[in-house]
Amino acid sequence: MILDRRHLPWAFLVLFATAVAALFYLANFHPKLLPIPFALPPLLGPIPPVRNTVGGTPLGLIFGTLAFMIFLFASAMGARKKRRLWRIGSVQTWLRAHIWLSILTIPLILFHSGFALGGPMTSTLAAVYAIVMASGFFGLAMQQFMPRVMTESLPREVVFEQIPHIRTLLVDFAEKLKKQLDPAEKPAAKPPATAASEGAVAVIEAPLAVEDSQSVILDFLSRECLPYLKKGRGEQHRLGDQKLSDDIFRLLKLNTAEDLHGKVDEMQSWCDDRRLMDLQMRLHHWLHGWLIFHVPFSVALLVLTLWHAWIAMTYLQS
Amino acid sequence: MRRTAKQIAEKYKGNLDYFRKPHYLRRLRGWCFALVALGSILAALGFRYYGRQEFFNTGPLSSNHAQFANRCEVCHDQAEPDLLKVLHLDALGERVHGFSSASLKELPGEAMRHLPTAGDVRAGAAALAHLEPGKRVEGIARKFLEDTTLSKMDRACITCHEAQRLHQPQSAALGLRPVSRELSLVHAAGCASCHPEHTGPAAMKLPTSASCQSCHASAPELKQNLLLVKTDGDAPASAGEIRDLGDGVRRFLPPRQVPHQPASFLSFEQGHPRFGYESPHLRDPGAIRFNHWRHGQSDIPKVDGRALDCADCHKPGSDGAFYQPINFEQHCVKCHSLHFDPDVPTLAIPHGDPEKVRAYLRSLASQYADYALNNRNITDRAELKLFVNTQLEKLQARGMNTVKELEQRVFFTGDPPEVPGRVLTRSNKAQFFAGCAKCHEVERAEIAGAPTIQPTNLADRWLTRGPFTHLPHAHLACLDCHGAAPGSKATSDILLPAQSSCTECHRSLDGDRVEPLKIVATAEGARAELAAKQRREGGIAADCQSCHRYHAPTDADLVLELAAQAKSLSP
Repeated sequence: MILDRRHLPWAFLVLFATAVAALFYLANFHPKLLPIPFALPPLLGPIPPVRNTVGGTPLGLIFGTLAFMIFLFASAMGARKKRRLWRIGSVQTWLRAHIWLSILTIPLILFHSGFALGGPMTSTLAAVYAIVMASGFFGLAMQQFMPRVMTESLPREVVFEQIPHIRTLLVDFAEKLKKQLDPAEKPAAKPPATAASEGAVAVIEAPLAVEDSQSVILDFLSRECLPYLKKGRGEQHRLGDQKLSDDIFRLLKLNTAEDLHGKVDEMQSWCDDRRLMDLQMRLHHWLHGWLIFHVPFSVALLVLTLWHAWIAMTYLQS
Repeated sequence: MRRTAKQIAEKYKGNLDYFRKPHYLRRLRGWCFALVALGSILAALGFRYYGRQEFFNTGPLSSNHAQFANRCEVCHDQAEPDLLKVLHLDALGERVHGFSSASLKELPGEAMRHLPTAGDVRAGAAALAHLEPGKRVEGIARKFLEDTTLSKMDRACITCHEAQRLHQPQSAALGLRPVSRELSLVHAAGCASCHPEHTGPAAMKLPTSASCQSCHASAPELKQNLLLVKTDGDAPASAGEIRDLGDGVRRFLPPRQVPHQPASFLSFEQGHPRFGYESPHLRDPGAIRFNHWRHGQSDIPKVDGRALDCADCHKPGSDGAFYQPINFEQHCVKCHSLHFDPDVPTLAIPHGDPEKVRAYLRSLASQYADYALNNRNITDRAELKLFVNTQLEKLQARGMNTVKELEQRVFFTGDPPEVPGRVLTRSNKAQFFAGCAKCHEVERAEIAGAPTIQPTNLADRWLTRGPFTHLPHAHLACLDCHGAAPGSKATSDILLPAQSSCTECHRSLDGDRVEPLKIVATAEGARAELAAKQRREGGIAADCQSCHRYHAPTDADLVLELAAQAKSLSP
């Protein structure tokens, strides 16, 4: 989601809520730091807290509870995305709320913990929280420029989930062409007059015979094009490099009869498609890969927070 | 030739239900999701078998309680980290796992009995359910505050730390119970508020004055926490009195304000109540006539070649902590001799018991005879009789014709009798013998017998509620604290330092010095310099704990129980 002017109200809301929370925190736990006296209702607990803790005081628990409720709301984002037709606000609004309310949890958690990590359990919880927040911020940052990069670098973006299918199709097209050009499938033909048999492309002066050109294309198809299209990681192949690929196909055209240049163009387009899809996959991984951490650790955060709340309350009340 | 996306899409027909097929990235995310979610749930539920309670430790325990690091239940009586037990799934879990967690954790039975049941939770929820929303929130908040008081944990504390559950603000006052009708006894709920745990592995820090200030800086807080326990003791006299409470130490007991309302204040230097003896109407109840001012005058004869000094009479005890009581034979007799006959200098009236004095005077002839026999070697009976008669005639010549007259002079008027309004230059010069009434309160016997001499009634201790000793003040001059003494003309003047005088040194640091001064000076000049520096800069201990003890003595429980039985507790 691009951060634009529509995010300003949310940013102001978070700033305001942070300021209010900070005021309450200072008034309750560090009243001397406030330039003006500000008293909180007695129900928010004695000053200083009787247990020498922050999280266990009524105000500290309010901070923690608010943060936990935001966690719950934020985790509902996944469900909201799956139920797009529900009339409970647009997904855009939900996503904005997800982002900004999650940011609001940072001051809330800091005030809840009193800027201390505590013991092993709370430290674990803090680590999980840090992973969730860091992955979230990373994803947000990626979303700011990655779509533009994709628009600029991918003239023919395809549906990401279609990529494996399309790659299979490309291989099929290449196999079909290979069959078309294979002399074993056709009547016998004379061997080519020039020695351009090893797949290397040589510059010749005389017009090329179609049979010879077919042999060159077939050889190229078998040795270069098909292996590239079948390869798992295409960027490691020389056809995976745009400039090198263009040079190779230009030379291939020079070594083939003009009647077969259409076939060469077709092969080039398959390789271009494959290269673009590889790039799209890489960019897609950057754009969405953080979710592999963000979503599971969000669940872990919810479970551990519930556990932490239970344990804290049971120890607090004894 | 570049193709359009449409051309590509045309070619890719046949896979339009791609979204129904699990994509590898989604599959990976799903697996991670399931693994982490399941792992965290299993971690929470399976903690009972593999985890150590130390995991929940919110901070290192002090060395005092380090042995309980993995036994939270020792202090957190009703805490239950075992979620299986909370969910009533523990039996199932144990069946699956094959052993009992109770044997592993050794939870005390007493602690387990306090665990809230599901019925308790339902009852609590039902009690709140019928309230209006606003009151419900308030009710929940109040319930939370009640449940999170430290009283439950305090029970765990006093399991080991017996008899520490009461706070007596003036703990020494419990020893004064026979003369106190009301004692302040406050339930010391909230051990952890002064003794916080989980703050570091070092030894627990002693409470600071801030702990005391949490109550004592707030009048409403003090009023709320004050518990006056009425006892059957006698109230001290309104003028203050001096009493020996059975330990051989005579203490000055200022009159107690009834009802006692402790003052709120910030620190020893800011608003601390004045010492008990500082009331302007209080008088030293000592029953002896002593004039400090007179003893400092220049016409007073020198002792051992020098003018009288404080130390001539006020001598420290063997340990230096307190000063010896003033004693006539040690401190007074050098100047105030009891010789009544200038011709017989070794003959002295006994000091201390008026009956003995009377008997001595009535056997004066025998005393003279003994003197002649032992000191002048007169062994002849006639000579002895002559000596005795001569001395008695001399006494008669001085106006002491009868024993009664002699007693009058010895007990009351002195010899020669003191003329009212006459200025005496020195005790033993204007009068050869000053008479008991010079210093003592002497009352005539109503019928017959020796006059009554009131006990001197001098206090050994004036600061009865704090652990004051003279030892740490040895570098100070007497007049640094007892500055009013040289000008005092009456015994009734209380010459103890005012609380404000103590705050000259016992206060927070001034200037850049961060460490309190240590008393190292020994030479006289250095002592004075050190004292002046302390006055100038402060920094001498002024925390509450220096003088006051928080916890009531062990017999405070007994006082509380007795008072409760007598139904005389006052809110």
